[in-house]
Amino acid sequence: MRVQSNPEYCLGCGLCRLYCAAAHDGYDGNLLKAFKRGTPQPRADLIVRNDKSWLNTCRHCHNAPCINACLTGALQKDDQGIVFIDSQRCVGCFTCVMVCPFGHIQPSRDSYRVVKCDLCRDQKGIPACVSFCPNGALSLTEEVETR
Amino acid sequence: MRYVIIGNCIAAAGAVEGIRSYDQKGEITIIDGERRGCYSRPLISYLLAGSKGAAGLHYRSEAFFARNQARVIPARAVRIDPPAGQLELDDGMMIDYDRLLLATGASPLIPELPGIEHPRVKTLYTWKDAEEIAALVETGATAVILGSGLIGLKAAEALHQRGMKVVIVEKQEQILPRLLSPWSATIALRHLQEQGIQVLTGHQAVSISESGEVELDHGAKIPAQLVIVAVGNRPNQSLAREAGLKTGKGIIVNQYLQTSDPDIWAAGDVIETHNILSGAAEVMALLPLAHLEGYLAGCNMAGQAVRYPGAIFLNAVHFMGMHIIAAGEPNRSGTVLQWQQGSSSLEMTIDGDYLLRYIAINLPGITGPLTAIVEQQIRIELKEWQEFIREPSMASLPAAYWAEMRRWEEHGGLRCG
Repeated sequence: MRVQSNPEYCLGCGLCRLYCAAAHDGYDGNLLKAFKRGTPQPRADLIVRNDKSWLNTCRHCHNAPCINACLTGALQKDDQGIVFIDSQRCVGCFTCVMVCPFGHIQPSRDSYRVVKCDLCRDQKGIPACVSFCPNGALSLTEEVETR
Repeated sequence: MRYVIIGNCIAAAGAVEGIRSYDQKGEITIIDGERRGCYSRPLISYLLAGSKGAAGLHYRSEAFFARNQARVIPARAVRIDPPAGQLELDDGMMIDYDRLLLATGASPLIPELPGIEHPRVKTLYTWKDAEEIAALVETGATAVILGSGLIGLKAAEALHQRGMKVVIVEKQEQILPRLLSPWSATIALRHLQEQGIQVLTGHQAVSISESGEVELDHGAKIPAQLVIVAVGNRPNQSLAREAGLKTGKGIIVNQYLQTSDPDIWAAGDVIETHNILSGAAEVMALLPLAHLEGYLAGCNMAGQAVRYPGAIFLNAVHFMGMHIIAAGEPNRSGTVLQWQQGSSSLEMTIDGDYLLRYIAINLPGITGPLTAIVEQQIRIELKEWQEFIREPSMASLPAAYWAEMRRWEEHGGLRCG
């Protein structure tokens, strides 16, 4: 299961990133709380290149290189196949950043841990980025990278 | 099926996951020579620094082993008897195996120096080492670190955080000689010095006196409360050698991670890995490889035939607020491109149309794609790299990378296993 991004429909508006950030770190989807009072951080980057844009989502790889490489055991896969990070155990060595071929995993703003897509596993329903994309450029698919 | 794993570290955890992907019923037994459970070796410097407690050191919890029905025996393996399919433990107990994995890891090299046996000369390789060093820490006193590799620098950081004066002695002319180029090492060195670490490159210790004074080759003497030896590691091959397995600098395995005995596999720091770029079998003792090798060995022990294509050298480390990531071949030359802005820098070595190596300081975001480009040998012309390095970012990565990524998406799967 992963979020697929279709550059043909992406306007590059960045709403996915706003809702993504608000869906994490305990903001509970509240944009106002997140952006007026907090330091929200989106879990994926929007890439803009040659008039095209897309959200650089996690592929939740089978035999994921980030899990293999994680020094501390913080990166794990849950029963649904979602690759997620236990932030308490992350020391920010960035080994996972170094081995993600898609460049999805990124340092957190404080630079001492990493952030990545967890398909909003702590919330119910489909991921926030998919729900709030105004142009249908993001979809949830069952396909998994067979790395 | 009785699976036995010698060593309870990263490769062992990978092997349990690999075996259980295909065999839910076989018995798994792990021989834990350190008797500390499955912990993450790099975290011991955080334990020493006091920024992580003992509870935070575990790589996989006891619950993980219970869930996977893997029995952990706290004992050291002393002998393997391949014809009998048996293993002897240090308490005399004999363990039967059908399939055996050697994940015996490595040990620090100890140089032959007068005084090296001094009780205040330590290595930082195990949990026990970190505890012993912690007991000798004295605020304001001097710690001398021999070697400026990853372990040496993490030791320096931890002891500095504990309030010690730290002096690093490096035999080579630059710090992190296996990881950095002279140019990037200069940048890293400046950062270390600004943080208050003293670094002496181009020198080595010749003796340690009874009072703990370290004498260097040019005659200088440094009175030290503590000396940390961090000059490299060597695979723990004695069990394999005594069992008659083929060994070189590390245990020799085929592409299925099987040793010269078809019932015995090996993974992690103890083996020689196929270096994708050089084509040679080398000891590549890198944590990111240990889990994958253990996992693939486990799959194969459970009857699969999953190939391990080999690896490239790669390392990510941060110390004192500086993030260094480097991957590729350190010893091959090519066209060198350099970029620097504020505290960030990037150096790339390009041979023909191939990226051989990169070194990124405080520029982590783009390193994942760069590693993939080196590892998968994606062909990219020099002029595209010249364009990229003017402003390195995800969006400015060469078109060939994005084309390759689309191909992965469409056809599913990267070259691995």
